[in-house]
Amino acid sequence: MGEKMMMNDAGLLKVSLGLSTIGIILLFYVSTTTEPSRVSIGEVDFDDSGRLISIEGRITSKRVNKDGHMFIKLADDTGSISTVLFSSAAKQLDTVVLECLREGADVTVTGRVEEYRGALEVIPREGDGVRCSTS
Amino acid sequence: MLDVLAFILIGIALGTFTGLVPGIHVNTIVVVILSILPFLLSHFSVQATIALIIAMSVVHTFVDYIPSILLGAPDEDSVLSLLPGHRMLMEGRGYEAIRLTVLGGVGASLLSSLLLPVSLPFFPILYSYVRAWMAYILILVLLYMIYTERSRKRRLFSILVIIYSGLLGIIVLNHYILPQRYALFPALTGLFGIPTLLTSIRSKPKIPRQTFSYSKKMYARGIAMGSTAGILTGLLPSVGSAQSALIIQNAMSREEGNNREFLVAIGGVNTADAIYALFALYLIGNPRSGASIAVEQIMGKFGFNDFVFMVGVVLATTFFAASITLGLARRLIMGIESIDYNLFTRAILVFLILLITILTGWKGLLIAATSTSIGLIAIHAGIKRSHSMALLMVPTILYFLGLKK
Repeated sequence: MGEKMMMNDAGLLKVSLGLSTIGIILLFYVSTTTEPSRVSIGEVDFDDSGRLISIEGRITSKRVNKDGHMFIKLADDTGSISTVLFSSAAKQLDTVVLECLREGADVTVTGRVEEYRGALEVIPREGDGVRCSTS
Repeated sequence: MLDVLAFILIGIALGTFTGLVPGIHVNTIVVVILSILPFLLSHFSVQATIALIIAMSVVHTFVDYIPSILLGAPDEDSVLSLLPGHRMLMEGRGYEAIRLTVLGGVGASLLSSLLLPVSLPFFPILYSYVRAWMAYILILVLLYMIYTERSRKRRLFSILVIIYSGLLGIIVLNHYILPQRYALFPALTGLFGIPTLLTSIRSKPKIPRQTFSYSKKMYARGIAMGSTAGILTGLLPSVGSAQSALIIQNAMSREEGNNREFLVAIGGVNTADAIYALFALYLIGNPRSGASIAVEQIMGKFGFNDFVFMVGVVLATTFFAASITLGLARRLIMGIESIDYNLFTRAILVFLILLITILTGWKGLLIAATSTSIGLIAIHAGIKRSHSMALLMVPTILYFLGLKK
């Protein structure tokens, strides 16, 4: 009986090992293959924290602090939201994109929703996180 | 003044609800409050609104040990109470287990408030030192946990469980699968709750007659350790009470009396963490929890008088929190005694799976299935279940090393 119990435990251990390995692989696949959701600014809420989204809006304000980080306010008909372009990411943008980052310009931002001090903001992903919208 | 008292009572009721229902956290209610804030502030005072949030936060930290110990359904703050608490329930001492966490909470509430004159000048300095070393402290804890396993085979399985739990934590916390406020519930329930329930069903235990007697020992060391750890946790970003509780668990040796002292300590950690996360607004000028962020948004500028008000609400609420927790525990334990515990365990298991499905959908079920498998590795390999806390520790270590994206 004791030996049968031990066999059961060893068998269960192998099954648990196998299932947890498959589970982690599946979860990693699900988490990294999600395409950004295209949403209006007003639809972004706290449930979206960590989610990759794509928003389109007009720049209503732009500020660069002494460390070179860019704080942009984007608005559309449904609301407004802050976007933070850290200096390291800003350096990677090409000149065309940098030039269109001015008040009144229409841009598309693809990035992660983050919560900072109770407010939501979008942190653009590297590479194509910020694009000028075609008029 | 009357509206402040009324809102404290509402906060107590809400904190009782969030503490009892697995998967519902104080932050869930805070978001609702913030969404109706203009309405609240147009009819009631600012003090009344923040009194509600503070009362809810404090009561939650007391009540949330009940589902962990009695139902095997923990949240991230109460998870380490599950195993020693469940063990005591099986010894007929479930009420004493919950009472010990309440003792820790009351002690922490009083000690946290008494330590304020010390906290005001010294904690900002202490905070910056501890913050710099936090990653290394947690790495040392993980290494110590592996080292204390009794055989080479068990150490290898420990490393495996830590790696798997850590990977799961990185995926769940650093990538987007679910809204963050729900992401941990299926993970923790799967790592700790469901394996405990499955093992229980397999071994078909009968819940023994429960006693409501308890030792009058004060466990002062447990209160002190829990309070200190909770205070530091409340001030540090990205360190939850679970990580602090794990440090305490490894600092205590594994004697019978220390299980009781450990329950006192984690009761203290949770409460002190919630209180100092609020106090952090004044001590270091930064909010440290969903509740304190909400208070900051409501108050705007935060002065000394506001801080004194906050301390008063915390102390006033503590008495109610302790009474409600002990009263509920007594009633629930009397209910559990009179039922078929095996059937009850199966019902809890079905309830948890349904709750995960409703709150988090198929992704939550996938997380729960994966984490349950990891939790079962720990059980069948005969290693410490607390290795699965790497779920939270690894992302925290990465954060403090500057590697979290």
